[in-house]
Amino acid sequence: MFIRSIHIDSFRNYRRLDLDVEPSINVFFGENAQGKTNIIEAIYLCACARSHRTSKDRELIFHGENGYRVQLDMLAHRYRPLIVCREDAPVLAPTDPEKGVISSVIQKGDLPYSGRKKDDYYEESLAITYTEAADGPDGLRRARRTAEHDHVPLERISDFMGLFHAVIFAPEDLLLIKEGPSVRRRYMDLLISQVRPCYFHDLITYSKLLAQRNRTIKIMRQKQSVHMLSDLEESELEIWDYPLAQAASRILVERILFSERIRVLTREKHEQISGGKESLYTRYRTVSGVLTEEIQKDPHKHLEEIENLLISRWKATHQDDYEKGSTGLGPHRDDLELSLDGDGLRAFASQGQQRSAALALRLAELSILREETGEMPVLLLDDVFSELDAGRRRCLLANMEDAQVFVTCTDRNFIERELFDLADPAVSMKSEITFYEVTDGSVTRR
Amino acid sequence: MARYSPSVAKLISELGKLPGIGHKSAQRLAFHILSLPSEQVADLAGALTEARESTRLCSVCQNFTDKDPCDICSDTHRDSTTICVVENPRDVATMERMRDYQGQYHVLHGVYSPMQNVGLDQIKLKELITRLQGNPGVREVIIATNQTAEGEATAMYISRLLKPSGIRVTRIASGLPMGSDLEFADDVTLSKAMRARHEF
Ligand SMILES: [Zn+2]
Repeated sequence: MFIRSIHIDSFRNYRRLDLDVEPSINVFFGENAQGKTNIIEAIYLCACARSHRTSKDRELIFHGENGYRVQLDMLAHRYRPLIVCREDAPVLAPTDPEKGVISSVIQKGDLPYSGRKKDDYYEESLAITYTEAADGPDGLRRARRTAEHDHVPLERISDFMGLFHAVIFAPEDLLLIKEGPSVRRRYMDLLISQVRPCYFHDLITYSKLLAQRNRTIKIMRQKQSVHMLSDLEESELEIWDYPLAQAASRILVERILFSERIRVLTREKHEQISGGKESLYTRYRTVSGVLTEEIQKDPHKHLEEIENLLISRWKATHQDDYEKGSTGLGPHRDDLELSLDGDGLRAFASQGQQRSAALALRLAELSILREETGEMPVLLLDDVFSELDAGRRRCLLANMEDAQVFVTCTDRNFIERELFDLADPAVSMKSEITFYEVTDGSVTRR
Repeated sequence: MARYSPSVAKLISELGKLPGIGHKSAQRLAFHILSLPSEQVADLAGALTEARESTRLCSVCQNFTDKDPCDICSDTHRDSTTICVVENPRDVATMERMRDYQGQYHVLHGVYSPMQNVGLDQIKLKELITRLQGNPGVREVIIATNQTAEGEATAMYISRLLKPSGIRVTRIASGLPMGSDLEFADDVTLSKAMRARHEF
C-alpha cells in the first residue's frame, strides 16, 4: 500500500494542501518551522489515529479554525498476502479475490510489493476529521473526531487501526530511551494496535475502567478523612477490579508476545548498528508481578490465570491505592526495560549509544509491521539524517528496502549525497528521489 | 446571547439541555415552535406537563408507567420466573418490539459510572435485590445492559451479587448481526463473537 496523494485542511500551518506524491522516496526540504514535519505528522495520523507529537488535537488545528481534516488517497495491493512467515520461509500466496482461494506458494522475494504493477492495485482512501465547536449557550466545547475509510465514517476509531501502516523515525525517538516507562508503553501500544485492532479496543476499555476506579477512590477520599476501608468500600472498588482484570489480562498477553519479538529483533538490529560490539536487551516488566516464567512462555494458555492473579493483586492493594489516591498496579504502570551489556540505558549510556538503541527499536517496529502485514510500511524520516552518524545512517538505509519513504531535511544537497553515496551501489536510488520545497505552509515540487 | 430576547434565549437554552440536541438544533426547534399557532404550542406544553405528572416509576420493575404496577408487571400471562435487567425504559420498548421475550423486566435507569457522577445508589439496583428477595420464584436474571465498559462492569457486579442466591444469571450474547457476511464484520465484533462461541 502506498500513498498517491495527500489532502490537508486547516492542519497546523496548512490552510489547504493537495499534493501528489511518488511511491518511492519523497524528500521535503526547506528552512526550519516551514511545515515539513507537519506533513509527516499528517501521514502518521492516518496510521495511528493520533499524532506522534501531541495528544491534544486542538494543537493540530490551523490558527483561527475550529477543526482539521487529513485525507490520504492510496493505492493498495489487490492481492494482499493472507499469511506471511518469517524472513526466509516460503509464504502462502495471497488470496485471489475472484476465486477466493489461496493460489500458490511464493517466496519472500516475490512479495507483491516488490513488483509494482499498476493493474494490481486498487484505490483506497483514509481520513481523520476533527472538529471542535463552542456549541450551546453553556459555551461547552464539543469535540468530535471521525475516521473515514473510503469516505464512509467508521463507527469506532478502532476500526480504523490496521488499515494503513507507517513507522516514524524522528529526533524525539531518543526519548524512548531517556524518558520514563510511559514513552515505551506508548511505543508498544501504538505498534500492537496497528496490527491487533482488538488490542486497541481493550486499551480503550481499560483506560475507561481505570478512570472509573480512580474516580471511585477520589470520591471516597472526599467523603471522609483517610481511614481503614470498610467492607462496603472494598466491594465498591472490587466492582472495577473484575472488568479491569478482563481487559488487562488480554493486554498483558499481547504485550508479552510482542515484547518477545521486540527482544529478538532489537538485538539483531542493534548488532547491525553497533557492529556486534554491544548487546541490547529488552524485557517486559510488570509492576503487578504476575508474570511467572511459565506464563511468559505461553501467555495465551494462561489468560484466565493472569486475570485471576490481577484480581487478587488489586484486592490486596485496595488500602494502598486508597491512601495514594490512585490505582498503583496494572499494565498502565509497566515498562519495556532496556539494557546495554547489562547496564541500564537511561543512566549509563552515551548519547550515541542511546541513539543506536532508539534506532534499533524503530527498526524492530518496522520488521514486525512488515511480518504482520506482508508489506513494507510507509517510512517517515523526520530530520534524522543530520542526527545519526554515517554507520547508523547506512543501517537505516539498508532496512528501507523498497518502501515508500518521506524524508524531511533542511539541506537538499546533503540528503541527495547521503541517499546516493550510502545506498547499496547496486540500486541507484537517485533516480527515484523526488524533491519538494516547503515554504511557509506551501509545497512545491522541485 | 445578546442576539436573542431573554425569553427566546431561555427557550433555546432549555431545548439545548435535551440529549442529542446541540445549539444549532435547539435554535431550529425554538424558531419552529415560535412559528406555530399558539394553540399548538399550548398543546405541546400541556403534553409535556401531563406526561411528566402522570408518569411514575412502576414499583415492581421501575419502568415508566401511568398505573402501578405497570402493564407488563400485572400481565399474568407473562413468565414471572425470568427477569431481564436493562439500562433504560427505551430498552424495554426495544425488547418488546421483538415479541419473543415473555418474562419480566427491571429498569436500572443507568449504569454505575462515578465519572458521570452516577453512584450505586443512583441506579435501581437496591430495588432489584429487594424484588428478588421478595420473589423466591425467580429462577433466571438476564442482564442486558449495554456493551460499554460501564455496562459490562455493572453486569459483572450484578452477577457476583446474585451468585450466592443460586439464581441463574445470564448475559445476553454479543456478536455478529444476522444475515451478515463474516467478511464484513469488524475485528472487535468478530473477536467478541469468537469468545462467546457456544457448543452445538
Ligand atoms: Zn412494572
